[in-house]
Amino acid sequence: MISNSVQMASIYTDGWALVLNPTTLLLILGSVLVGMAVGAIPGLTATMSVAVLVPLTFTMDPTSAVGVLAGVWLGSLYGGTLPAILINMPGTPADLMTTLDGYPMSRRGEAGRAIGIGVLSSFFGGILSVIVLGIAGPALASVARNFGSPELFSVAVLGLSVIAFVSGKSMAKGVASALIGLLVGTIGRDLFTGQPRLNFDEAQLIGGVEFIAIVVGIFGLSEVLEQVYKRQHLLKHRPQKVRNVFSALKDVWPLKWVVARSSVIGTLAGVAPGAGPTIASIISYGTQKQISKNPEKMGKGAPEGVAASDSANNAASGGSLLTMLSLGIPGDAVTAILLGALVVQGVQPGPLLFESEPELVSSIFISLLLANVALLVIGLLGARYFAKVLNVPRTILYPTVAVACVAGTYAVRGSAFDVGVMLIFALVGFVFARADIPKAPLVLAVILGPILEINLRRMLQLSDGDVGTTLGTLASSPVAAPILLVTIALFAAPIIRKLVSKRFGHSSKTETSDAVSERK
Amino acid sequence: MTLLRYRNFAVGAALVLAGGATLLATSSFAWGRAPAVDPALFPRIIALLLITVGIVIVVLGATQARRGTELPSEGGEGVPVDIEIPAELLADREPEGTDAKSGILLAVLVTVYAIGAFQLGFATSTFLFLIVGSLVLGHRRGLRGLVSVGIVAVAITVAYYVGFFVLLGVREPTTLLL
Repeated sequence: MISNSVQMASIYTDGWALVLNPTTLLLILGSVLVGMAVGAIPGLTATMSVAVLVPLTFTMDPTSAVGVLAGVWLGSLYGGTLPAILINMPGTPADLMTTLDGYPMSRRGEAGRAIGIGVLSSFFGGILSVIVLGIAGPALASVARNFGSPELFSVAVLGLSVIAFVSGKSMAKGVASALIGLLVGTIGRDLFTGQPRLNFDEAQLIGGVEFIAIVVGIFGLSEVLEQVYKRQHLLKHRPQKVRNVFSALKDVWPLKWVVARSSVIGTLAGVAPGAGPTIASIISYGTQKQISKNPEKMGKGAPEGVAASDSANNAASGGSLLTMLSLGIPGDAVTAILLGALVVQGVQPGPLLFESEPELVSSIFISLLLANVALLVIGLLGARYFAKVLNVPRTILYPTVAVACVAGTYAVRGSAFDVGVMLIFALVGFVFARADIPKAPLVLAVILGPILEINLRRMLQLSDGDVGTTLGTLASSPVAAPILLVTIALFAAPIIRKLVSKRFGHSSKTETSDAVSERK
Repeated sequence: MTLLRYRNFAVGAALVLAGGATLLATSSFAWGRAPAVDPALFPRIIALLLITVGIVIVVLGATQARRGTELPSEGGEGVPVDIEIPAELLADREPEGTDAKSGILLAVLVTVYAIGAFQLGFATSTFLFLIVGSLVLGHRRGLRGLVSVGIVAVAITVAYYVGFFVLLGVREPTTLLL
């Protein structure tokens, strides 16, 4: 029992040696800076910044790679607050709710105060989520260590179903995106027999489609094309000057319960597959509006609105890493990219990672902690300088990002073929945007597809190909059965709701017309 | 027929075609093999689901269009929660519109750049792409604009070259020029 406790404690301490070296610390600091600069530019999302920068991490060790990507991710989530407050345009979708109160505050000369509240709220939200990740991660991993094929299959199905369900407004198109991702994931060598399939006799596809090329194309170059298509390259902004950021230090104390509550909401929303910082901030803002003592002030420049949104969207980051690290199953596009980056580094996230490489897991927790500290310091000190990023001409910025996409994709394997794949998926991403098909399910499905297939075929193999026995195995698992029921309910509920509302609508129409005829 | 209905028909048809193409591509694998040794099992399941979902999208699209309940376009990654943004905040936002011509030009330029980077030379292609790309997107075309974009293009090209091929040690492609 004592040795178990010692082992548990070591997961919080072993990583310091890996992280506390000048190179890693500088990389984390630099990545937060880069993330903030990128996030501050409307249209360049956190997902995009992580996707485009992933290739740069391949020459780093896993600790530094995770630190850099986490720093960029957190930095861009915070960076998006700046244009949301200064020019009423969220830098990332997660900052949409910040515009509602941040911009009115800016218009009455309180831009610095709003930004300061945003930074501090983001910091506290991030720290809380790292603490939850540190406590719940090992616990979830120890439970997941006993998972077999039925459990892994059902969790993967749930993760994919939820993201297909919540992405965009059309569930059918979300499912279609996921199916296309699953199909892309089957390209290459069959995992069981080693036979090539769907590779069209192309030797470069024997190992499958390069995941980073897909991600850079769909979230990187495609977004650039989307921004140009929407004329964002023609926009010119003249943001207000940023002053008195530090005045927020005294403003946050009265908002402590708003920040605490929103941080918890954000962390829990982040844990839910498919939900991410955007949904976290919306739920948090909506909740705050419900329970606020002055709800009429929200949406008109209330500091609690900024606090609720920013603490939740940063807190979601730690929550979404929980399932990725503990189960090896990503819950959203960014964690799918992070998982892909770790796999390329030779690190397989999942329950076994906590046993085999506790110092790496520990270093991930610590990197996140330090990234949040860096975010606080740089955010408070550098807010007025980051505001100037909004003046960078997009006519130069967008081609620069396009070069990063091409060069970064090439850098992964030194393969021009991958660049071609990236261009194809950039086109796919652009077409998806025009057709209102969400992109996140495709990316997740490429990662989850092999997990689904391996475990499905294992179950079928163990039951000698008998589908009935396989279904029985799933139904008798105390973990898999409820998860699959939730998945079925997820798809059935909207259909049942529609049918019920149609029936009630028809009934009440009939009753009304009967009542009218009776009166006559 | 509205544009939206055409779009849903196109999406549905494309999915059905993708499913059919997958079934065709896996036709060389024998049917009825044991699941563990059947490489075509999973792709075929996906293909059948794609065809099903494609038909569902076409039918749903047609039904919604007939009832006039089509959903407005929202760019695909829209948050599935309706948010009411106050009118006075909306008024402050820039007016929207599209610029398909610039988008297509940039896409073509990026493709030409990608080919040039691995045939002609990375640094040369990057420099030219940054200048031409900026001008296509509307950067100032006077002497001052050209000089400024030229200087920035040189700086960015050098930064990328040093960053990737020197600092990160990426293998430089064999090309005619630098």
